[in-house]
Amino acid sequence: MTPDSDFRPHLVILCVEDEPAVLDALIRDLAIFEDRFLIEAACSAAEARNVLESHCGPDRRLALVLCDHLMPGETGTDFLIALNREPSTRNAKKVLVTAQAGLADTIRAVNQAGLDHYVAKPWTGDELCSVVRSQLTEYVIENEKNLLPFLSVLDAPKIAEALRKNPPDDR
Amino acid sequence: MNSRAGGSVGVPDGGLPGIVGQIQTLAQGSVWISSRFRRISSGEILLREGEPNDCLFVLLEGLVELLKRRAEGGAEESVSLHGPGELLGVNSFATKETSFCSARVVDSGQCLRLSGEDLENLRTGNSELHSLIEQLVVGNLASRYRSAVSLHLELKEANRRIRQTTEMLVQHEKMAVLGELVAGIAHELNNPAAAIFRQREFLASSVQSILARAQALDDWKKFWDAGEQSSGGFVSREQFERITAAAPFLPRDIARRLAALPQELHSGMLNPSKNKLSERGEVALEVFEVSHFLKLQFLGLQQITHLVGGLKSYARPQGGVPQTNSLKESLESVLSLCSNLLKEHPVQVYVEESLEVLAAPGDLHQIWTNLIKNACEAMQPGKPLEICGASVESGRKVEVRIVDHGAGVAEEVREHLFDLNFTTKTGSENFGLGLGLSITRGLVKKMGGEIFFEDTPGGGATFVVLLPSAPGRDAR
Repeated sequence: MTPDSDFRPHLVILCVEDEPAVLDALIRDLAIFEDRFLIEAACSAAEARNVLESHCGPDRRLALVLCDHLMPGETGTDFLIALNREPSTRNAKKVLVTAQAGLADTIRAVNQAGLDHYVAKPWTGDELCSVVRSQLTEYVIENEKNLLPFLSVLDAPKIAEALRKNPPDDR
Repeated sequence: MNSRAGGSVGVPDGGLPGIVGQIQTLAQGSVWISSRFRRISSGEILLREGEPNDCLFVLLEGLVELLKRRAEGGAEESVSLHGPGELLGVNSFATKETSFCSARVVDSGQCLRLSGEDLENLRTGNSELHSLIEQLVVGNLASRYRSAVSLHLELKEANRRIRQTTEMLVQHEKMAVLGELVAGIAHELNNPAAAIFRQREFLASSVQSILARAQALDDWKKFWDAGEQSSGGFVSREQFERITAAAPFLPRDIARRLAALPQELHSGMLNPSKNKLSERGEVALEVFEVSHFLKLQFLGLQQITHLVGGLKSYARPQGGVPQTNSLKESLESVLSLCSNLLKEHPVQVYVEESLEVLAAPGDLHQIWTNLIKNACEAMQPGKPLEICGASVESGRKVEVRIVDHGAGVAEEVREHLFDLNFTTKTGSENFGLGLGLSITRGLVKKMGGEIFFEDTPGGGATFVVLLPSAPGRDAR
């Protein structure tokens, strides 16, 4: 497994959720991805912005956001729309994890935020992992030059397929 | 348009009383006319519904009421009142159909009674009286037409109000049904919650007993207690980074789990190379986490029970029996049910623990819910809500102020604020039937209190509710 011994995780999964116990559960469910991705957490959209500002940059890019909708201050949907407008976060995959987003807000999230997936609370661990795996796989295929490090933790067949179509030398 | 009890009156044409005067003048000089004058006395029936009529009555003095049966053989309803200058019996007289209404004298007076033959004679003979009669006929028809038009408009308005009232009733019905459902759901929730509470406790004690026997770890109790004391809050970044700095080869998810453990328990948790947990570390961390999860379950169950308690108070019929209520608890119960609404508005409660109010708890909840909901809907996200409670009037009353920082209430709207069906919320998103404040006021009054409105200094609305203190409190 040597190709990735020099691998430094440089892609960020950001979790935004105002209920601490729920945030805790979310992070625990993502444990298997922690080997290859950096997991950041925030209790509100405002805190999430701070985290992005101080801990993300050109070498630590946002790959996936898992966000609750109803939070104090800015809603998850509004936050995702803002992320979609910023060039640095536009390509990140955006997922709402929520118990309560009305139809109007969901439509806005789909149309203006480019929502990639909607997970209804309560979620099962398997469901969440499957969604995260599939979203991250898409992200790395679209945005990453070196896909090999991700074979172990993401959707291996899809990554293999992508490698076949675009061998590393051409990337 | 004059309007007296029973319906509209076709009088207003200034000419009708004038014409009556002229007829009376003519009568003085004509026996023919004066002999057709008749006194009418209160209670006398001039026309009977459904019977043929061959006279035309010109009312000169007094008041006559028209009556019509609601249905075949049903009760008579008063339709309209008629005074001097009005004609009675025109329809039946002219069309030879039976009388549409009955006519009964209310105030005694005098009328001119003309038969078909009389009118024929007038037509060919006494032109002055005839032309007066003609004017009366035209005047009467005109005023009946006007009254028909305004009755039509009144009817439309009445129908509109009925539709509104029906909508309101439907809403009430929905709320009532919801209230009943909520009671059932609260009960249903309580059952599994109670079961889980018990099972959790059994689990906690079983696991501890297993740990004691398994002897995997001498000091397992320390880690168990640490889990029990955990607050359920999220792991701090500093702690996490301290560990990743001290053990850079430790997988991040393990570092994160370790970061949840209090600093003083960290010794011996890692292997010498610090790239994974030691055997002691693995067991200790699991013990800590089982205890921690059980603690989180406990906190979650508490939350459920608290919410269920809040819901139950809504479900009691008529709000329940008046009793002593802790003002603070009553408000906090509603605030927890409204926590979704309050996500966008920081709320501050300044209420002493000792304040108590005598009221039906469900009614109190409804009052707070309505005022808090209104306050939240009036404000932009981020604006704060303040709730203050104080004892006033030497402890006899409690004053509660619900202060919002929204747009406030416009001058012209203020006197209608508590009216039934008054609302400034229109449009599909923020629809209001205008019931909330009027119902709230009704409830406040029912418990012997008052509610009024004040401006929030700096902008916004403050609703002040004065309620009687629960008896037995000393004057402050």
